[in-house]
Amino acid sequence: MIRSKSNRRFQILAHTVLIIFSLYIILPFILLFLSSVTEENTLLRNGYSFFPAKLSLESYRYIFQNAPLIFRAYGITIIVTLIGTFINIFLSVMVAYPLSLKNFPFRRTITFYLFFTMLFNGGLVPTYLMYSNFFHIKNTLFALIVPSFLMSAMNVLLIRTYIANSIPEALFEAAQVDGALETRIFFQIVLPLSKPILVTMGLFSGLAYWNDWTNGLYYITDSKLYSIQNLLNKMITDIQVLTTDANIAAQAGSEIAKIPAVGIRMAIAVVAMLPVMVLFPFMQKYFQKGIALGAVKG
Amino acid sequence: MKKAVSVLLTAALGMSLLAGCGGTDSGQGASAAGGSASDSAAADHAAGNTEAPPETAPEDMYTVTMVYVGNEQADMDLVEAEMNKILAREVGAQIDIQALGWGTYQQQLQLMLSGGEKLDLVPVFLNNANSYISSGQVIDMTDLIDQYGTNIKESLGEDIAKVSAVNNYVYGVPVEKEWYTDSCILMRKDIVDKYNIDVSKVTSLEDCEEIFAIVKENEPDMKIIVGSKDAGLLGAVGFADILLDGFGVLEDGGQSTTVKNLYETDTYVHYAKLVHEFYEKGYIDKDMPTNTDSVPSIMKTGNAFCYPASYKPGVVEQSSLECGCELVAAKIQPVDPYCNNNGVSFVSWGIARQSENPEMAMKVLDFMYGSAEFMNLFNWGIEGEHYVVLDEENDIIGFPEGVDAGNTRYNLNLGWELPNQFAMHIWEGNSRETMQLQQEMNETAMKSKALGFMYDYSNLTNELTALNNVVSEYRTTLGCGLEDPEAVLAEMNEKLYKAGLQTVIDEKQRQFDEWLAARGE
Amino acid sequence: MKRWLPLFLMMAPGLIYIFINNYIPMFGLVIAFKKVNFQDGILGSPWVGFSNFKFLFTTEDAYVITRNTILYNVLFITLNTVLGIMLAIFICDIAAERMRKFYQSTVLLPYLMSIVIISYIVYAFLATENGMINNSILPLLGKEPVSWYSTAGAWPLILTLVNIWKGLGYGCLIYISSINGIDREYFEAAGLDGASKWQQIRYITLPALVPSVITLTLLSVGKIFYSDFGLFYQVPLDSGSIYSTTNVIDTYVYRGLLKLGNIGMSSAAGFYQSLVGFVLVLGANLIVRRVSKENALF
Repeated sequence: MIRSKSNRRFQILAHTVLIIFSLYIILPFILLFLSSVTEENTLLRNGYSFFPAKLSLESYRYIFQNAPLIFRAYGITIIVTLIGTFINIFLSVMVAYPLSLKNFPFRRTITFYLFFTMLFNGGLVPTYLMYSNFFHIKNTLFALIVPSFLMSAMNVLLIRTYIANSIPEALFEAAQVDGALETRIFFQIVLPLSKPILVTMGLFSGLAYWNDWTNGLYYITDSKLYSIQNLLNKMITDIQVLTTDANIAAQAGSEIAKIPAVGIRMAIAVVAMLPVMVLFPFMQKYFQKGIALGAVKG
Repeated sequence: MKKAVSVLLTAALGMSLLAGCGGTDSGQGASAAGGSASDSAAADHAAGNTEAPPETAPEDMYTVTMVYVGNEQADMDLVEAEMNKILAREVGAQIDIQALGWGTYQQQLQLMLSGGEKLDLVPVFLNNANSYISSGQVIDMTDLIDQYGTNIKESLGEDIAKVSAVNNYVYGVPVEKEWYTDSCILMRKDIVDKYNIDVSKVTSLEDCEEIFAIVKENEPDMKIIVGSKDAGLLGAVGFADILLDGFGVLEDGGQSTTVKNLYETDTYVHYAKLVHEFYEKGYIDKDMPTNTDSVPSIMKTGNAFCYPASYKPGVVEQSSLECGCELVAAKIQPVDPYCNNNGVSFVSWGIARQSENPEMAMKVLDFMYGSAEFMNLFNWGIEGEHYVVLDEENDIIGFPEGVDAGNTRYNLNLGWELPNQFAMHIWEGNSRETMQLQQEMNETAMKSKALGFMYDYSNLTNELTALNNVVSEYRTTLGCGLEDPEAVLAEMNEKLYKAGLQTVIDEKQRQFDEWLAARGE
Repeated sequence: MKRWLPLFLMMAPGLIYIFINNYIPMFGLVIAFKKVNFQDGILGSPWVGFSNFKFLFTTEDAYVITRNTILYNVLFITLNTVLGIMLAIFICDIAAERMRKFYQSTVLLPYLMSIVIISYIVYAFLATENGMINNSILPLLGKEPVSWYSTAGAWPLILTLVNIWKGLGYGCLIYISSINGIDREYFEAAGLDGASKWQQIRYITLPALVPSVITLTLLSVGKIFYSDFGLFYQVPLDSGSIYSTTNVIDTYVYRGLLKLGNIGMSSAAGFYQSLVGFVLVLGANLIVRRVSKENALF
């Protein structure tokens, strides 16, 4: 690449903007972390601060009393995320590729069939009735994997757009002239060349699974199957009801006394994010690789 | 395209038919069972509930599925096993208990009651009653209580047993707890003593002003009144029977029979002004309107003086334990303690529409009201393992050695939600006397004229949606006294009337008058 | 046709999943027109025409909630697109690989946060007595503390900042993968011809992003009557005195029905929101088809 003056100026500008933006993103995380290690009384009396007067690891000690529960929930989340993401990507790209071909029959109809689901849904109750009465997935691992996230129209449409615009159709045509089967084209050309978008979609799908608490809320009442987000969500919503609903609060004094303090809630948020933050550099490697592979095509 | 649509429609139709069938099925099942129940009822009645039922192996017995709202207990399986021994012997049934969380129960229970899964006994909170009834999610228990409710009627009394009803549709049985409304402010004893304040002389919120002024002057850094944001300080002062939702109330703790707009009553306006005055003077914590912390955790910092609470015997001892400091109560309610449906029916136990054996569910529920043994298991777990008797004479129990609130495997401690807490052992720090006082108060407290009346709002949902939005817009502002109530109330009332408040008040009055007439009063 | 058969088979699993997960529960749309009684089943319940929809239009607040919903969505779509593209271009052109990885991870970090935790963090900044801003920043500037949760005027800005913080990563990553999909040769050729960095962006990068921008925008248009419930309910802590700038259709419906639990009315609200989005998206898609056929969604 040619290093021109304009390029250097551009690099400086880019770094400046990105550093400012990164600070904007990261500062709230730092405040979150600091609140989780600020001593409880200091937090309630002096307020939140980037320079807490007194530190304490009490919140984390409290959490690790429940370590078995938390590790179990991690396990569930990891299994669900891995299986779910893998299936999601596979199903999505298998639908997206044919849709990206300009002369594929029913292309518009099928796209519409997918798109329609992004706007209209039957609502929670009918979905729940179907999954719990007919598929009997309540309180099973399937409940965390199958509903809603196994394939999303959004992913399909984005992958389709990518394939249609970034992979030259001449490639497919050349392969067809060579007599290659569609399946071979799919595995040998489409999959490798759409890696950047697949990795991106995989990341989104993975994060969607990792962050999801709705399926657990609807279909899981057995705490043995709680994912880490269910654990967090249950704790936080419990606190919300107990501290704001005056009627329940008036009755449930003993429950309210058990509410973990703010610092502990912050600490649990940190604990729920930690594995992903640790895994991030690892995922980044694949991310970069995917992008690099995409870049050297042609 | 057309073809796809038609395929879709057929499939959808098939589905909904199936769903419909499932629904009707269980409905018919319930009514058919209800019919046959009356035949066997007489026999059962004669036999009484204490005698052994016909011999069946426990695994052949009907399992009653029950859910409660609260924390899950690690040793629930062990406790259930003990419960099942008792139930097999006494009732001829088994039980399966599940926990739902405080933040999630509303949605989860709504779904469970819409679906077809096994479910029998459910807690029905006051706010949900109308919608459960109008969408047919809980059954009418009138006949079942008559046939099997021996212990219930004995423990609650004939009237209270059927008090949780809309249009004579009894959706549940209330629990034994304090049923009356009384308000107080809990203050830190050390501060009160330090400035020689006599709390027993306080009879109203007005009287508290002096106390707040003293504390403000001498402890300038201290937060004086803290609390939760929902009700604020104003919401904690009870004086009217709010008839379920506060849209049209009966003044004087329900001694009036005219339904009025709460936000125009003299008492409300008076206290709204007083609370605002307190806020202006800096008595109310500025973070109260957005508070996300529990009151005990704020009190524990030692930087807060008092908070509003509902009063009942024993509340001072209990709250002192929770807040980690000694407290005293200043009673502030402008009217005598009063009993209304909002207190009595706060939580009632109902039977889900999909129950396959409503009679058995009812028998098990009735058994709970009469069995101290069962109630103790449910609330405190197994004796010797989850609790030990500390004081035989006074029936005081506590944790066994080496067990505490942090590591216990079973300590439900939800007496107020379970059928009969007055039958249970007393946890240390509380006393039998306070329980007895509560029971006495239940008898003697002033009864609202509308006790037993709950209005049916199924035709008012449009108005109520708008009204709920108006109230949630102003609730905190008024409750914490953030702005001058005169202007706020004028604005709010205008919005309320535009949202249809008068329609709701008129309808409430009409239903109430009819109900009174039917009772012959 | 024979050529397409394998492709249809390939699509089948995904399309069947969509049928089960999304289309079957759509029978539930009839709930919007019924007074549901589970004793009789959903289909057996009586029809009530449009009466479930009435509450959406008869209220005084209808204007405010509709205005807020649309304005916030338009603002968010615009900002997320413009800023997302800007950051994506900057990130892709950062020469230092380590920094590029760092920026890329940073942008996605907020994706790992549940909205309730975000509301805690926002509270840590904005709380009246304990908040970071009132405690540490305003005194430095010699200003009086502001009670943010009752200052309606501040919330359009606060909500926008939070939305950017949380939502930018998604679009940004999609744009990054689209940029990485552009053939490097174009840039190299342009560089040899002496095109400046700005010219390369203007004539190569931006045109290549158009399809993704259109897809993402069309998808957002379909959701224009919906809003991120957590952002508008949890983050402002449901504070009443700022409803004029925080109340949107979703929060209005939630507050109104929380205690009523009427599924007919909540279905009606969802149906109305979907329908408006659907009509708008059909219109927008029509326009796109006129201008450039291959970029239309269907």
